[in-house]
Amino acid sequence: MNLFRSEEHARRWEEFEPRMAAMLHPVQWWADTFATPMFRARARSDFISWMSGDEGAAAFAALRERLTPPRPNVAATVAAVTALSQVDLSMLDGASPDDRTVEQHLMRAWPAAVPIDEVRQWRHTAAAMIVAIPSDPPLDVDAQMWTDARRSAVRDVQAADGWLKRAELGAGDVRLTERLRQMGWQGEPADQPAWTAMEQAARAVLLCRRLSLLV
Amino acid sequence: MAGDENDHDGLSLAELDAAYTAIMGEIVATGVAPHYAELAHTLGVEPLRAKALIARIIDLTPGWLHPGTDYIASFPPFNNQPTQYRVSVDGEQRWFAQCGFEALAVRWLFPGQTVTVTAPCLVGDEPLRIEMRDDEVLSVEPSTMVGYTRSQVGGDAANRPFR
Repeated sequence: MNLFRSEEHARRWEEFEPRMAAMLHPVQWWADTFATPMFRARARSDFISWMSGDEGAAAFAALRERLTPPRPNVAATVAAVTALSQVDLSMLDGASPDDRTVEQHLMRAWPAAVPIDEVRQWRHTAAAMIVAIPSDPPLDVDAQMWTDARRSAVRDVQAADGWLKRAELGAGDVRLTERLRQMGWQGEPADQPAWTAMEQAARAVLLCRRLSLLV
Repeated sequence: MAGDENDHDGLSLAELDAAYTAIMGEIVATGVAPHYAELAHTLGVEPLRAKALIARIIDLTPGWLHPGTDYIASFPPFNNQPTQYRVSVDGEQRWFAQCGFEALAVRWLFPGQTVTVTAPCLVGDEPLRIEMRDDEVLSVEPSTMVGYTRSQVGGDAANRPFR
């Protein structure tokens, strides 16, 4: 529970834990948090009684609520799912792991800024779908196609993991910046790792969806 | 426990209120938490009773005793053991905050007075400085300052002071 000169300083701290990045806030936010009734009441002459009673319980509950990491951004999720539902699955036909068709298609449909929590959620969804897809294909499905598609989904999730870590650290990539620029990217450079992680996760979801239709 | 006259250890809420107020008052006045024998004198109770009161208050609040001793190490928002969060009131540096966040709550114990917190940044560079008075945050240097914790606020006791 420390103060740092800036977000960059905090992220450079050797004990910075990206998993807890939601607890990184401007000092004014923490000043407001530590101005809630639980802290002001310490000056009361009956603090322990107050804290042990209904008012104290309500103050503590409000504090806990404020300190709970943010819930998924429903609006962003809906926007992403809507965009994803409009993607023509046939574009995956014959796509190889290096094919940029999916990326280009999604780039036209998605908003530029993608919250980290949404990226994480998509990554979890993709990973869960891969687990749910049996490694052995149904009898009437081409085994090689099944295996390749499943492996490709796994690779995409692994790539998403890498980009997610970059996004949590706020670390961009010069090659990515250049590639996205060439493709007409209009967003902020800081959003690129998160966007790319989400794209990779979405690609895995699409692959899994295609396999699930064959089961 | 609301409405109970006595705490689990036979300590009344009135006694706990008085002990808490006495400890906090002593820290506010001197910058140092009292020993239980000193608290006993202040409250007019037996030393062992004062010791039990301290132990119970520590259980109820996010403070702690120094391991293996009866010494109050932390009594939020203050720390009896020095930390990097130095607190000055109206220009006099006598107090230390439990952590960077609790440093922001010290002002409620000094109504109407200017509370200044200074600290080094954990990754180096120039130090940090915040000035507050009651509800007002008067200045923040640098203005880009942030707070961060890698553990839940009020969580695992072993991690409270450091993370």
